[in-house]
Amino acid sequence: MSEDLHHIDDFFKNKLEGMEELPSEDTWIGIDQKLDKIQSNDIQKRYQQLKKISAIAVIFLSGIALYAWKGKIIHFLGIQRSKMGVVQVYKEQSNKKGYFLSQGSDNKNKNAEESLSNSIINQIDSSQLNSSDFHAEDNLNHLENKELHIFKKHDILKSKINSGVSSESKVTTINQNSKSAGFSQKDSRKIFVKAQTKRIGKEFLGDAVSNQHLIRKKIRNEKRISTINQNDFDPSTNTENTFTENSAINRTSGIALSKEMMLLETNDFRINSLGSLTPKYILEKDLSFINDLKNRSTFIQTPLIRNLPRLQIIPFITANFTKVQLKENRKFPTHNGKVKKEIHETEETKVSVVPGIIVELPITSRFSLQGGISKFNLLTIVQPKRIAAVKDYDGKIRYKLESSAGQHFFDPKPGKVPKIGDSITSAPMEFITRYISFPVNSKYTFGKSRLKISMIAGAEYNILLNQIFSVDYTNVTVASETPFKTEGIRKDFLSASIGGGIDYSLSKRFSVELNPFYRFTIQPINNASPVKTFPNSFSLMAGLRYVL
Amino acid sequence: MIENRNLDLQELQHLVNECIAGKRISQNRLYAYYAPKMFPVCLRYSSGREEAEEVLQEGFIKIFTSLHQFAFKGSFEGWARKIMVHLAIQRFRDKKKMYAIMPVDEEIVVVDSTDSISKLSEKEIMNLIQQLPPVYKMVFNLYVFEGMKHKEIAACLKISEGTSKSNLSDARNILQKKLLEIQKISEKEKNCI
Repeated sequence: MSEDLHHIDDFFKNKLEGMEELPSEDTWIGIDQKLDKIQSNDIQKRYQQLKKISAIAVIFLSGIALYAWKGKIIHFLGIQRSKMGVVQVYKEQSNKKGYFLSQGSDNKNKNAEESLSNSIINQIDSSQLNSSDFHAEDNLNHLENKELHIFKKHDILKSKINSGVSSESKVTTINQNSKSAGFSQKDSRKIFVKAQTKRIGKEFLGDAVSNQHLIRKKIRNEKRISTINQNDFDPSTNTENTFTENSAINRTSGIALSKEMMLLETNDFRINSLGSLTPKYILEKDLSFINDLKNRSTFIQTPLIRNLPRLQIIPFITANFTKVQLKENRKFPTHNGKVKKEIHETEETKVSVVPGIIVELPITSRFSLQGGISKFNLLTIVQPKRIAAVKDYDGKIRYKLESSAGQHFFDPKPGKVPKIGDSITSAPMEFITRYISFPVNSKYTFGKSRLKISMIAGAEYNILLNQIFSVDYTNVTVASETPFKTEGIRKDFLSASIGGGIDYSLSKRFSVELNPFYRFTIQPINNASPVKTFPNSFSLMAGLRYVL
Repeated sequence: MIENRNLDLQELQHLVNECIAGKRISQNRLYAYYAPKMFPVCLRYSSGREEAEEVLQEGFIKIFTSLHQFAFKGSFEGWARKIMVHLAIQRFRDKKKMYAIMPVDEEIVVVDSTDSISKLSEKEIMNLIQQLPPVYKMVFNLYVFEGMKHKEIAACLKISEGTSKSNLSDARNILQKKLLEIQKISEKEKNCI
């Protein structure tokens, strides 16, 4: 019986094996519609991907902006009404303690920790907010009524007045070295904090804090202390004209200040107090220093220990020395390496020079992140070779040229339709495949002198822009300059790069840099082609860095 | 629409690459060439033309979207056929709970090959298979046409090996019974004449 059953199996198998039957025409219509839908979904997917990339870029750039601006992220502390308007004061979170000297009750020996509990804003005496009162002597009198408050390093203080004038201060310093500051050993216990002020809104008469900012900017390299007359600090004058190169002090060297300069400091303080702008100096522990301050009319300007990380912009040009690596595509086994060999023999790549721009965000003093945009061109010269006529992807008979960039189909000469198998000799040709690249790099810098050396590693996302081809007409044997079409080339690919950099500082804001790096392709630039092409290149980038 | 001539490897490569590139004309050519071969496969696993066309449609969409995975290592027809069978199995699994097992007559009828049966057309034979209960049809098709073992069938359909064996046996019995009926009708007709 079993035999009979197997006999049935064979009966059915023999009868139906090899059977062919047409489905209804609606089946193809359905497939066609579904393929359309899939294709539109693919486009949508690409669009979504692009949106994601854009979103990531926006988040990244916002992060950079936020990081660079983080000194301005502040906590609201309170509001003070003054003759000049409403003053709002904010404070930022941070981790190092300092003390804030502001107007208020005369309680010099009060424990600093206790004073923290008091609102700083409430201590400000609005009756003293008189913009006409700008004399240093008066300022010393005002010191009579000062009180210490605890603040921390990197605290941000922001003042805002109804008239539109506002000011921000950041606590930037600390731990002044007594020797370099010109103070005795006893004074070394003191901690001075300077609040660097940046004004927002309209000009504010007498904002001497800005003067200091100007000094630092204009005359940073002068090491010798020179005399500054008190008149130079008349806040009613244009602050930019107040100082000269000779009145400079090197803020970073931490050398002692002259009395005149100290006057400036006290003047600054007073003006800040009077203007209800951010109070500027912070002392720690040794409260008797205030007495010292009053008696000697001195103050100390401490150097900036830590600057805010600043965004840096690097416009550059890169010379790419590209060498293509070819791999056989296993989907085209019939070529047996013939195409690869032919491409090797007939093609060469040329050096391309492309522009770009990179934005660098320092994360620490040594480590930074880079993001940007640049171009990447692949210049390929194809020597004359025999090309045969085949059916292209649209069913038209055209001459097909295999190159490292893909398969190119050329229209035949006008009025001459080739037959499949016809062949011609192509003229020397040049293909330029253009990409737009989005590099993201991490950078580690060695050295803090003017000359810095760095290591850079990163990745690039390259999107195909277009492909241009030109013919060497001087040596044309067969015209093939008619329009062409490339098949099999990918619309995007990923590459990675590793290299080094030399950075030479020209000034505080400008530096030049030279970065040699090797760029290797992670994905081939073509897929539906007998060879997979990986354009690896050695690149030399020259750029000009500008610190924002 | 049927292309009778055989595609050589180079032509097939060209066609496949064109399809990968998304050329609709080429996709239509590939469909026109292979649809008549694939449709009977779909018919065997379905209960009617409509369902078979659905499987065929789904199968070709799968083929076009997975063409880049085809490495030209085996025959394209075999690869396409596997996709169709896989989809049919998938559909069966999805609808498994909906299928009610038809009661099967335990009687085993031995059929002798006679002229009337051998003269049955492909369509008539296909009908016999299509009329089988879904599970029997699946097991019968996988065992007879795809050459799968009971263990593989059991894994595919998520049934036990024993069930697969008994389903195959039941499927054979039903088909035998039907063939016998056809034979009887045919003999009756002969006698009447």
